Amino acid sequence: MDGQGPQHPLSDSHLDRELESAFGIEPSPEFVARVRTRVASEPERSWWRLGIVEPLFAVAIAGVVLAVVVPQWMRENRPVPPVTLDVVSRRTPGATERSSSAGARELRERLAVPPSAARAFRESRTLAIAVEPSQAPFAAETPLQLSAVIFSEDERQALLALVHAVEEGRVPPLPVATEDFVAMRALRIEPLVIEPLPQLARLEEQGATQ
Amino acid sequence: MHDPGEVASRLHVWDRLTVDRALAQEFETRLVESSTLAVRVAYSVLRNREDAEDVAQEAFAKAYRAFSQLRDRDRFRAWLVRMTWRMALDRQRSNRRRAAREQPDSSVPPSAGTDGNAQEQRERAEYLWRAIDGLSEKLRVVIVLSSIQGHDVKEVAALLQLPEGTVKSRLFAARQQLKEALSWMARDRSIR
Repeated sequence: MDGQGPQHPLSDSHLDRELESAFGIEPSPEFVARVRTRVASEPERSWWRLGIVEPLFAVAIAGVVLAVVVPQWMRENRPVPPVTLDVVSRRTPGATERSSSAGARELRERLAVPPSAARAFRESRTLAIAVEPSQAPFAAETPLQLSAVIFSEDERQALLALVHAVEEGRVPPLPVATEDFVAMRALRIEPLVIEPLPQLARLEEQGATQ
Repeated sequence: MHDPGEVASRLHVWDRLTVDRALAQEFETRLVESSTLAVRVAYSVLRNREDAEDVAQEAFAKAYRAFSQLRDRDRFRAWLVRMTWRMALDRQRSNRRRAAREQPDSSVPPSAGTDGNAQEQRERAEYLWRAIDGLSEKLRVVIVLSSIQGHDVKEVAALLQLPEGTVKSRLFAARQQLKEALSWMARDRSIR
């Protein structure tokens, strides 16, 4: 007993016995039954145990993202429906030597859109005017991206005239007799009349009388 | 004629019930074979049978909720040990906060000896618990797991998901500290 340390250190087997006796308790007989009861009261256990909720949650998030992003993306990338104006023209030798009235008549004929073409234009937003395709040795197609909303009938005709003029080498286009065209609406600007405000007019009258 | 959608739905429900039943059977197996382990782990911290069983029960309930990820036996037991240990420590802290309703004498395993032997055994158990309390948590969990159900180093390493070498060195250190502490306590007792 000198206080320097244990006199009789425990052997391994002794320590093992001590530990076994300390930890060697058994659960009570009703423990397993209690756990079963506890587990049986778990709400919605099968959904959690099967791991179904997590995938459903992921799918829901993906759905929300798609519902928000895709329509926006489609709106941004939606192609503007083109109005294609296909003009097939015939360039005949000596066309430039024709008289202006003959050229105007021919142009008017070309611009005369048959009802079927007009219907096709309304349905497919594509206007194709074929002018004697069998006799067109230098047929060419000139697709134009036009908007039916923006272009009025007058503008369409003017554009057609320009296209033909370019195709036939008449740039700037030859003057076309105006009487041969459908009468274009004149741009009339009514004179602007500004009436004096009643209050000011009355004050002016009062000033004049004084 | 049955609606194909309805048939598929019924099959789905049937499949789910079948899987559910299989999972329930697996869980039942794990419960039976691991209940002692969980209770002992909790008891090693709490030293109170009722508290230990409460904690072990809660740990099993948590394991049940996560059982789809814990179907492997070793994984289940390792998860259960760690969860029970953590929950037991939490319970111990809250117990201490509630001014120690812990009664070490009541939790000592019953002895088959005479009154004199029972007294001596209680004292020895008390020394042992004091010595175990003196260990750091890392050493304590290793000595607890190696002492219950005769786990060897490999099994303890698997339960704690630690390298075997780490477990071996911790176990050695824990045993040395325990032996030393118990010897000192025995010496003090003989002096008294």
